[in-house]
Amino acid sequence: MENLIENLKRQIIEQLNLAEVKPEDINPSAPLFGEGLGLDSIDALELIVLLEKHYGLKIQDPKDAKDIFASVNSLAAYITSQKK
Amino acid sequence: MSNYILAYTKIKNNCLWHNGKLITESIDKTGLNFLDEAYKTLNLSYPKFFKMDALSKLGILCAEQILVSETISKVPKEKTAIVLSNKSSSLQTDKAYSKTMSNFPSPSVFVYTLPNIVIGEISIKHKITGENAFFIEPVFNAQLLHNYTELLLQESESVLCGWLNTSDTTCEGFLYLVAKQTTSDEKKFNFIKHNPDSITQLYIN
Repeated sequence: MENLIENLKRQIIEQLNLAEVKPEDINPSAPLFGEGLGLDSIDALELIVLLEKHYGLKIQDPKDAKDIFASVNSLAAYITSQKK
Repeated sequence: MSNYILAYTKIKNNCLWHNGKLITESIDKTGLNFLDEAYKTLNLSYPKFFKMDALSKLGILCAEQILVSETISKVPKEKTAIVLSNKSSSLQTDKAYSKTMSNFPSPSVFVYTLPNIVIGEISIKHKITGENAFFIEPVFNAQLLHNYTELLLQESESVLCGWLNTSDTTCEGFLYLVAKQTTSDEKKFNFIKHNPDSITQLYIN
């Protein structure tokens, strides 16, 4: 799980062009949207691309997206649950 | 009251000039890295900059120099218009997006596949809410910019105008702010009369 979280941090920085953010700056339990990294709706679309590109995952029900993308931790938990 | 050019900024050959004064230049004269270098040199704090395409980065850097100066920051932003032009439209970004389509189309690249997005980025950063237009011209057209700006100044108080063009390897930006001023301000601040000849001279020199 720890490796997955570190990978996710690097992938988020790369996918979202967060040039001034380092992996250690990202608190895995902090909200990704609104505060924390302050991501916007286009970033949400990029996260969907990231999930499919790196993990082959598609979110089946859009209603689940809010909880899945709440934080790096919740994203990692979703990936782990889908790999089982 | 007459219309004057209050300030101008140019980016060309990896150099950034403001009102004729060299602000920053890059030793590496190749590629578009200059835009990111200039952002760091100017100590701008706007993380969204790195998500932008080259055209918007070019516009943000040019506009920043003009719109934050003490004299100009008093110009009401709700009565400021923006009129821009270029030759290549958003072709560079269009090609970049096209490349992503064979694999995973990128939403963040797609949003920059229109040339007037740079107007939106400048407007968001500086809270400008006036009229705007973007013209595609084969070469820099001072007459067109002058005529359209004069028309807008019947309702607006100032207009940010110019030329922003990017290709895969180079970028060229020239922005200037035109506003209504008194003749005494012209002498006090060395403002430049707004006409096609003065615009062309500033663009060339």
